[in-house]
Amino acid sequence: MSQRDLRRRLARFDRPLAGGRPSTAADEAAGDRRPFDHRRAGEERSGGEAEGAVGRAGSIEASLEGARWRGRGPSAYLRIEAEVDRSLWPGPPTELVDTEIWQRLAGGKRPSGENWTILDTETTGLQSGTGTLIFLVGLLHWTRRGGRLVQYLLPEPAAEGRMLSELWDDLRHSDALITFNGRSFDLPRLRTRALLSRLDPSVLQRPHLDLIHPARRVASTWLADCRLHRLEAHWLGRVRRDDIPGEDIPMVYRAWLLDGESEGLIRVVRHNRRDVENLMELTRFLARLYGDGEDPVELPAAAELSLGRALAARGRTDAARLRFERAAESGDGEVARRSAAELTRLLKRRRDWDRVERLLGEALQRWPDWIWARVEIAKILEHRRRDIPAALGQVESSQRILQRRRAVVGIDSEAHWREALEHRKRRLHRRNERLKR
Amino acid sequence: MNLDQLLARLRGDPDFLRNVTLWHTLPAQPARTVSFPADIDPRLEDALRRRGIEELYTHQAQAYEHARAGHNTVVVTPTASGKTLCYNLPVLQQCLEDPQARALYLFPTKALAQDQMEELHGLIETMGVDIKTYTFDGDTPAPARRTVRSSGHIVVTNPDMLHQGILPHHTGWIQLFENLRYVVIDEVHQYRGVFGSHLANVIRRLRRICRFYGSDPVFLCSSATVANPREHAGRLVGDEVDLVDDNGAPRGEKHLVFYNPPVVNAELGIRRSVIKEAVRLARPFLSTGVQVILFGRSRLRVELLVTYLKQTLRALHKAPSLARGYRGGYLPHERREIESGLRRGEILAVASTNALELGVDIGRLDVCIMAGYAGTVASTWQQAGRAGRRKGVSIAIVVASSNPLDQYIIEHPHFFLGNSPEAAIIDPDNLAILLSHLKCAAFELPFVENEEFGDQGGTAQILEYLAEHGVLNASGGKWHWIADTYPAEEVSLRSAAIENVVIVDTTAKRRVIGETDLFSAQLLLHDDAIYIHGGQQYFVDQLDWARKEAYVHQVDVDYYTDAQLKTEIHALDALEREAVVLGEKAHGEIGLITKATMFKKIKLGSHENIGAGKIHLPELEHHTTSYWWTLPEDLDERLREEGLDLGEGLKGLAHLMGRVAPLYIMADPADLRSVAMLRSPFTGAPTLFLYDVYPGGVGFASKLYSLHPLLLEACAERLEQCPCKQGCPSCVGSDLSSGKRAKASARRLLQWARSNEARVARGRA
Repeated sequence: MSQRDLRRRLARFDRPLAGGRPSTAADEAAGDRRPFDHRRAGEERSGGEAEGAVGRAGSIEASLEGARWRGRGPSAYLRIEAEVDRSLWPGPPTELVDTEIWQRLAGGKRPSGENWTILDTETTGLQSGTGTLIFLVGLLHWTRRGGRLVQYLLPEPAAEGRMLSELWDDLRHSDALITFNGRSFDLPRLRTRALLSRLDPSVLQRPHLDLIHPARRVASTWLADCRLHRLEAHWLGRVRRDDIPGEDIPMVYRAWLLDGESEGLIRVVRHNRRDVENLMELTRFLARLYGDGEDPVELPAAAELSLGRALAARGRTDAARLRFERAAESGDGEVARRSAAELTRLLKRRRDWDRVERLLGEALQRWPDWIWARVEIAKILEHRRRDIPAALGQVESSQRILQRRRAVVGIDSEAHWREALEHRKRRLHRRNERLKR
Repeated sequence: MNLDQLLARLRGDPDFLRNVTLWHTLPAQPARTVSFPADIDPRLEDALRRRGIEELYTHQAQAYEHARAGHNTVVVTPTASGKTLCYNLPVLQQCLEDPQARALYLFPTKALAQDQMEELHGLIETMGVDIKTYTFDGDTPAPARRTVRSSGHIVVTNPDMLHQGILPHHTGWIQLFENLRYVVIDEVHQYRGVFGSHLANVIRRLRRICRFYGSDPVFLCSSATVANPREHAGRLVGDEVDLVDDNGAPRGEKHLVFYNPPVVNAELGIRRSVIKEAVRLARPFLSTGVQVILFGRSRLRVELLVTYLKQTLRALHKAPSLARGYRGGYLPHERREIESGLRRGEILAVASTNALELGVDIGRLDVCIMAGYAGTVASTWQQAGRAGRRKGVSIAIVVASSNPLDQYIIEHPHFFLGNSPEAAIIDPDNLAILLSHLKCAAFELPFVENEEFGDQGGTAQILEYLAEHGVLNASGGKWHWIADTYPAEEVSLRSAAIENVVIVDTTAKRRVIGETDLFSAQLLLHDDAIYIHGGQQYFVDQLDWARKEAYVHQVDVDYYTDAQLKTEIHALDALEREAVVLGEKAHGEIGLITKATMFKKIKLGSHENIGAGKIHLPELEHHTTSYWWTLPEDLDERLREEGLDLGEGLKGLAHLMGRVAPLYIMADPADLRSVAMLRSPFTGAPTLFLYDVYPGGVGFASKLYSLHPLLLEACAERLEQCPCKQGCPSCVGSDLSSGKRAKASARRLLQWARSNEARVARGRA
């Protein structure tokens, strides 16, 4: 079959290509259009005049300070290197994130080495699976002495293998990785692409601090979402101007490959640089937030509560208690009540019964209808104080509250409480009878 | 009364025998066995013995040898002949020898996969070894998936999951792909037409990924009887395949009966309704409590069968709930419930589409009644295989409908009993299908220069085309995927349409009861249609074409609806043409526009026409392949001289040929359509088209092109044997639809065409 025939049939049978250029009537005649000649693009690059994306990349090289070519021909890529401005460097990473803070932020043991690497990738899409290409990797080598930025940019996908192989060398020298959502996004994709280039994926298995998890725990009750630019604006006071929206990035790279549109690509490189630089600052911010010193910003009560929960989950009870106490004091009704409950649980685990009782007493003055608190008090009265009638009193007043609420709401939405209280009451009665005998 | 007595009674019933065209008894057959192969692991042999298997059937031993020698193999034996052991044996042996070895099992449905898992688990448990076997399908919970990926020795899945869930994520399955030794494909005859053409491409992708990881698995297939099992399996896996078809399994005595409902109106060629006859024949079995399975070809027929079965049960003072329907469109949990009800004997009668033809475990029943010929010899044997145990007698009855194919088969039982002439046909190089899988393959691994995908060449041109559309990037001798999409998601292996219409029941609260593809939706779910689901009638209030939702509510009416389809053929491109003496035959590509135009209301029971309505739906347009036969223009005059009519003759022939064609190709009647044009805008002459419903076609057109003389032969025979005078639905269509002179005109056309054929053949010799 002739090439022309095949093309005509392709245009006929192909569904509109989602994500690509929209099909047009002109596709029928596309047989005459000269396809991009990948063999010629494979020739060696000479100066800035070669054809293909690699040739056009000369314009990028000129616009980006510190950009140098690695390799030749279509498997050449750009390495962009720059010292991080001293004013952005927050200090040695190991000092900001001591072993205790690392434990709180990431769990596990902090690596002893001092060469940490912040990593962020830009891809051709958000799809999982093997076909999503990583065309830009930004690294910020963060050490005791300062910060050094290294970015790898693929002017064409063919350079991927060589670029990843140099990246792998960098990563081998790194003691710890810091990412934002790297666990779910960047690292799995790097692993996949490395396997396609037959590189050893175990290089990625190093101590890893994924900032999104500690950030999300605090931000979830506070901010509309946990996207990096929002955290930057609210927490770091940095608003990006002239930044490219993340969702446009795949399109920009395709426009570069197809039409040599370089302006957008340069903006992506700057966007990526800002990402890694700001992640350094975000690390400092979260380290202070999770630490015991002064907070970097004033937290709303709900955030105090969720931070307390995060700390409690890591077994940091003292730090957690502090957060719960603040949230219980400053919060509005619901947050304060939940914080009081968390605090009670924490103190119960420590068997600090006097304080538990005092806390619950105060809570009931504030929220007299709080059945959970009444039941907790009943438990203490029964098991600690051995005051069965008083415990019964708490259970019975809880039942009255429940009845009243049921009459108001009209439906029985608290059946579990009703049963639990009834059960407890019967048990207390039996115990009371035994005591009387 | 037991089954033997019921059969004896049927044999002595002249009213029944009068309508029987075939009573074929397959005698009981003893087992042919050999001892276990010498190299088999003692643990495996011991486990088999403990499970009551002392020796292997001959075909199991042969299959084992081929597989162990590293040959791709297809095993063709009937239902219940122990074919699963044919592949389980070499796979388990391999796993015992090499704990790193992996195997992948593909079953056409989830239900089958689950049944097979139980059998495998049983054997492995008896051995007491650590061979991990997992199913991986849409129901596998996310946390379990990691375990399946890294440590499953045998992964049991379906083609859809391999296509969408495994291959595009192959880097998560390194253990599997690096060590893949066997790929098992069960029931390969199911993978024909569109589904088969897709699967062949999924296998191409699988082999491509295996090459990347340095493995080269052996393919072990099983199939029901088809004309070309070896060729078919070979096309599916893209390699040479050895055939094992010498069945050594025992079988109980089995009766196969062909029953043609009596003619009630000879003039019009009307026979008694196939559905009512099927249910009537089931009645004596039901009254004595013998389990019966009934098969119907369409969803509608199945629903009608259920309705009448329930009536029969009521008349027998039994609970109507003892009869159930089973078909696609039911939700999975409904199906599971029916399957177990059959196994436990809680359901007395089940009416099913070919959904139950597959090896889903419903236990073994005694009686199978097919309301209408199953469409292919293979399907008929599979459905008949639902009745029959290794010991004891069973019966399968084929009740013919008035469809020309049914009538041909019922009058030519020896055509049926002879060697199966039906070939399973696929076209893995269908451009639309190839293109979708080439995209998926490019997503999975970049293409390298000179890499071919498929057998037709042209890969580089397709890659260039995709590069121009911004889907791929060509650089450094590689083609990389650069689009922000997941191509496997856009390709469904099972149907032409990517989009489905969701059916929403609004009777009480909104409830989704099923879904169906766009093409069927225009026929079944148009406004004012009666849609039948689970024996319940629903009135379609609105088909929202834009949102792809149909809103229905339950009703109880005494009619059903039948929609008419208008088809236009508007562009053509002949790939091959050849003069046959009467005119010219050709095949090639066509553009098609279909539109549902109106529907008839037909009364239940009497089948009379009680009303009609218009359907207002947009046209559906697509391109496909067709075979066509162009006749000389002067025929019109020649026929008129004899008082005949070309238009009516052509229309009649189209009706007949479209329904007889499946004698030679394993196509569903719904896969193939016929259209007659008195003056085709393309050929400028009278033309008869038989086209493939799937966009791009899946190989039927070129096959029919090569079968032209045989097709004419079969049409002529059917015409001669039909007792009607002026045409009926069993041959050229009723005189109402095709015209009063249709039969005579078609007969004359066939005479000319065949005498000329004979003359030409003599001349060549």
